[in-house]
Amino acid sequence: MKKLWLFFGRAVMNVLTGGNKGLTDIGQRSRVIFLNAVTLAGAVMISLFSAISLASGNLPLALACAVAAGVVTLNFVLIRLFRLYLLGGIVDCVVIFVFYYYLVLSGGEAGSGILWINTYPLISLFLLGSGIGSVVALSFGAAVGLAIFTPALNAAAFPPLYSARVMGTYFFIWLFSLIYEVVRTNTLRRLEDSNRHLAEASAALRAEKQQTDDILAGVREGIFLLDGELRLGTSHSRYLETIFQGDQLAGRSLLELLKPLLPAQDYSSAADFFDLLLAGAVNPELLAEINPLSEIRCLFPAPDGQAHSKLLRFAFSRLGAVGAAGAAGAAGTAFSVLGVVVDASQEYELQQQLSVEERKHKQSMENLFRIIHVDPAMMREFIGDTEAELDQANELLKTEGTDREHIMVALGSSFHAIKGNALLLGLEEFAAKVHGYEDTVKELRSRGHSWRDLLSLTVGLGEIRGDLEELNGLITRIESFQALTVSRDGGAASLLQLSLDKFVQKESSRLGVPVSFDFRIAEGAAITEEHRKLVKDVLVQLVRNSFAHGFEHETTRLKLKKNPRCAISVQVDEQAGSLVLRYRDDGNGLDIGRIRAKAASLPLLAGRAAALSDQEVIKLIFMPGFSTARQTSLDAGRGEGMALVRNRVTAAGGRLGVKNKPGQYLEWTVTLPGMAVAEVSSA
Amino acid sequence: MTILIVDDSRIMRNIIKNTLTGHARYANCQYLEAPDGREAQRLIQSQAIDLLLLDWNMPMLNGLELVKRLRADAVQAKLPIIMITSESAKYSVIEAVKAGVNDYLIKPVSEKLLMEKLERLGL
Amino acid sequence: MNINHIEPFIEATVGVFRELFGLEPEYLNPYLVQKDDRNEWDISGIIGIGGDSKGVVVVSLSGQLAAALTAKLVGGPVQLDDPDIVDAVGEIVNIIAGNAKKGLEQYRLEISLPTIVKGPDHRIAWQQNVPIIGIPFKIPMGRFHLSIGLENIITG
Repeated sequence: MKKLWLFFGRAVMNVLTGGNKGLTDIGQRSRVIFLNAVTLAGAVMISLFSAISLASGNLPLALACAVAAGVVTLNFVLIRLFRLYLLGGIVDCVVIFVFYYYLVLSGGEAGSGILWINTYPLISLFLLGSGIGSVVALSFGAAVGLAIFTPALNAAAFPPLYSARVMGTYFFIWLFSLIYEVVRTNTLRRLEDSNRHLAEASAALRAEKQQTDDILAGVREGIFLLDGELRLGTSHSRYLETIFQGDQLAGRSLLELLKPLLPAQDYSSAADFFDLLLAGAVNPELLAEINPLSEIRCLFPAPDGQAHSKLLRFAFSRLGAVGAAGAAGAAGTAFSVLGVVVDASQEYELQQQLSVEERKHKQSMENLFRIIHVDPAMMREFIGDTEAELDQANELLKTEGTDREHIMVALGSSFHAIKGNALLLGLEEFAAKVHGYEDTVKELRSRGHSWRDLLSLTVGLGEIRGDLEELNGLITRIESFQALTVSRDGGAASLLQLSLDKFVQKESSRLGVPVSFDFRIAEGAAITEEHRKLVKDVLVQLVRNSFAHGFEHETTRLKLKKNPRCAISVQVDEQAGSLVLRYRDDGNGLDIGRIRAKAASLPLLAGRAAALSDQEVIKLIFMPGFSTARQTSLDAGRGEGMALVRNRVTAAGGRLGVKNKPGQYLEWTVTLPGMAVAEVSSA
Repeated sequence: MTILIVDDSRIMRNIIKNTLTGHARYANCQYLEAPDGREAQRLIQSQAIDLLLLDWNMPMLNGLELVKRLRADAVQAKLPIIMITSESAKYSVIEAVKAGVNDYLIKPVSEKLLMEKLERLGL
Repeated sequence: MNINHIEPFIEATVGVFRELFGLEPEYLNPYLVQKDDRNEWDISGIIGIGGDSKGVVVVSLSGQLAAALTAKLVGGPVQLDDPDIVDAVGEIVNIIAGNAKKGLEQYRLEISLPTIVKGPDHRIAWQQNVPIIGIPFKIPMGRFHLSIGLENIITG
């Protein structure tokens, strides 16, 4: 039933609009509907008239009406076909003009023909518009006036006063119709204008929205709005979801989002800051200064269970007036804060690398304490020696005007000596740490250094000293529990022998090279406490060299008919008041060819390497930074060792000699003047 | 206008005062000084002050504590306060702003910044 | 100790001398301060650090330089025994320590009120087990000395 009504309604509308669905203009549409309605009603009316006239026997009228009805019906069809609405209107107006005028002239039942004329202004004005419509309506009025005031034409014989009233009525109907039509067209025009503006504005808005969406989708920043409760708005840049690793952000409180990501201190700072931000009492410049989220590390949980950290930079600005934002914020609709966040994690990753290194370093300290099972006296000796090295380096730093390069060289050789001593005691971690500083020095020397590098090495010295202090404390405790196991009778020499022996055995098992170690001190010779350090530094270095460069592989030795067990011997003698150390290893000796080749590869010596005598070639190994090892390790390769030996020995006024039997042995002779005299005389 | 300068360093008080009197706008102000928070509080209670320039780290009563006391007092709740201190960390500034200072200036005092902040306060 | 924890103090020192005196201090080689080192200075301003790390910041100067710097601040000649010198040195070390906190914002540090030690070869009670880094600075009027000792800050 409902469908039927709907169909009926559509059919009526179809008839009235002439099947024209493109009539969007409201003014035009109403005009067409009116035109069709008038035309249709006219056709029906005039056909009815024709029928009535025929029935009453007025044949001419019936015929005229039939013709008129035919014209109007044709007009209705033409209007539908050609959509020439103005023409259709004119045809209607002309037909109705003629038809109504006929009714006036014929008088009708008791002069009632005159009544029809009052609809004419409405029809003409609506169909033809206020201008032409008025002309036509007034013309029709004039024609009617002529008819009812002229006695010959006045079929109904109206008295003149009655005719005057008819004309007055007609005139007023025209006037009111005109006013109505003018108002109606103006209103429609304004409506159309505003509709057009609305359409334009909404198109512009759509375009803008598209742009905003594009920006929010593509920008590499998290852009968002916060309401009075710090809840995120629905419209935020997509990157915000990347940053926060989630897509259901709208409506969630930023502070709550941040809570699990921040350390408690920073979270409370942030909460305080947002209070101040929303309160609006603090000026924007100061707010920007105190924003604790302007650079903040956030820890995000990662799927693998490990926290993943990001360095985020937030900026906030308040929107709108204080009071309004407060009130609207409570209602939960308006946004009071605009926020922007960027991800600066790359920098953070760098920082984190540094902190990982720091942790490693801490670990090494722990290891250091775990492995202390060495004789406390040896440890004290180590600490004393290391402190002496540190003091020496520090004195150089303190001496104003010392050239930085000079300090670097000294620091390098101090670190090297400390490392050697540490390895001697098996303090691997400590040695590795010092090795790191030594590496740094080496690198700085090759690429250039700044005051800041010096500061960082000074901090390194401080670190070593700190470790030593802790070590010292530990040893004091060990000592208080433990009786001394080493006889002090042999004094410095026996302690030296013991620690060297330990070192050789340790290196031997570490590198898998079997070695016998023979240490003899001749009758009358003695190493005093004060010179012990120099002797030890030199011997440690020579042992390290034997392992790194001297000893052949076991199979090679067998082929060469050498004892597969390598041998190191140290002989300490006294000759004419001087202390003479003879250090010999039964290794391969110095490989003159390889040293020469290495020299040839250095820009400094490239041209002359071939011309050097064997003696001169050997001297090259004392150059700081000269090494034949292919890569640097804890064992060799830095090229500082032999330079250290020579520097220390010459500084003490001693001499260094070498006897090289390639394939058989290498023997170093260190002569230190005036060292044993006091000891001898007292002995 | 009466300005109260509170700092335990007499030299710093002088520097701040000289900075202000160097500007015609503040040349004819009345200046009061106090070396610590307690003395400052006594002065504020005894006479009308229009602007308080306040150090943080001071003996007896520190600047932050004084701000909290003043803000709790209905009469002084609106007194313009600029904290002038060496405390440079952001969390310190937040703490001071939360306590109720109107602005914050980190020592050494920059003349330009001080003038900007006074202007912002409309003084 | 970490170089990143020392640099803020150095930057603050340079900044303070630049802003307060219009001077650009030049730094000389840093070194480790021995706890029993003789102190060649006449006056030291000391600020203790507490909170996430324990430590101390010291600015040491000769009496002459302290007087000269004070004179710059008060805008007139200053005698060697003027009490303003104590005031000025205290304020300088206070600003250095306070400003350095900016570069160490990830930690919560508290600074004490300054303490001033005077007299030739005066002693400073350094804390144990913390290396003290000394940095001599040079300005046209003379030398001064910044010493920093900070316990390792436990991170993570």
